[in-house]
Amino acid sequence: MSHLSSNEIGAHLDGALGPAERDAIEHHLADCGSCRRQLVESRELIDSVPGSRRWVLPLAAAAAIAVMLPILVNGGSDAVHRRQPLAGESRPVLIEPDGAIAGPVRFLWHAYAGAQDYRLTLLDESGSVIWQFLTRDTSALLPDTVRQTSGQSYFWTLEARYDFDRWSEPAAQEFLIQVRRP
Amino acid sequence: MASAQPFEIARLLNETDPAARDRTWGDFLHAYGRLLLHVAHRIATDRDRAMDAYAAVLEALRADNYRVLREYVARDGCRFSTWLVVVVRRLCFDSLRRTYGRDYGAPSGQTALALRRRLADLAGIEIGRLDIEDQGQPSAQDVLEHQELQSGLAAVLASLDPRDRLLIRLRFEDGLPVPRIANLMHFPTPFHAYRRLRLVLGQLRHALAQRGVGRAPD
Repeated sequence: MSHLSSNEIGAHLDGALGPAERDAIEHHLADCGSCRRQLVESRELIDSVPGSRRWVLPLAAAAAIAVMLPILVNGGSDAVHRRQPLAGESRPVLIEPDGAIAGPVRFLWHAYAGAQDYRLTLLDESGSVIWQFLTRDTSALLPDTVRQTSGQSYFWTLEARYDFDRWSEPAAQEFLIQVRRP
Repeated sequence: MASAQPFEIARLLNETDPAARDRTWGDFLHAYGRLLLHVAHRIATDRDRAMDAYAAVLEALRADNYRVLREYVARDGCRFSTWLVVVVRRLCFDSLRRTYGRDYGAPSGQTALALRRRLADLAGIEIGRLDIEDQGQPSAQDVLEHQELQSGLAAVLASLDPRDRLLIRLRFEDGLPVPRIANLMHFPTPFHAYRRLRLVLGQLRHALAQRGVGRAPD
């Protein structure tokens, strides 16, 4: 099997491929672990360069989540009012959990200026909402009644309500529950 | 219209005067040397190996009248620095493997089993049936069942659309978190990737159930 060239991998990383080219390259990547590894590790190297743009959760993604969450949670047509972020402020700042964790799942975040309460949403790795919680505090503990699977990744988002039915842009983070010792 | 090569590259590759070429090579290092060093340090496990790899990269880039650099094809939307990282990564590994062995930097297989189990669970296969290695001395029936499960899973994976198969492999063979996959595969947001993954897993469950492998879909 011939492998992808550096030009092809570079073009895929930069999103510079047309639809047909991308399909052909992804067809190869789907079945070639070596080229996949080259792509993945090159992406990590590029993202690790100081000053490079890090795509953790760009505003476009946060906006997409803001649109999708009411549809997923309420299944309907909630009119979610969102204001334009003020200078230097866009969404709550999350503290933990982030990355691999052990022990009880505790959510912690910085206070968001003017927030009256917060809406925390937990999704499993397939994108299903498995828990939602409203609180006025800046922390929350995941109850044991919510199924927590070791080795599984979870995705949590947080929105701050600062006025009647007006919400900030959501912040989002991923974490993994490590195997717990008894 | 295709993008032009970066200025430092164009000068370097087109210069014929030896003295001037040394100057243009210096300009290239001034522009990209830190990037090359960064990649070498990220790949090598210690400083000495990183410097060895860096020196080897410089030698490889200069060799045969900059043959490697001449392989770059400029096109719209492509960044030379991205291509350079891909190339330098490969050159670093080539150098380190020549010195320290073919297995240098090879991925560990320790997580492969855990990831395969995760996929099997999500696809509706009883995990214990997939891993006969844990069962001491498996019976002939167990071996046959195991082979049927493995071939069933392989067959339904092969029937997926390549982009969906790539999504599954990145998640369950390479162990990447979904936000990184979303970035790599240029999904609009991680949420789109999560949603697509859920859909594909449902397709897998359905296909496996039709083959009589695993649980029926919900």
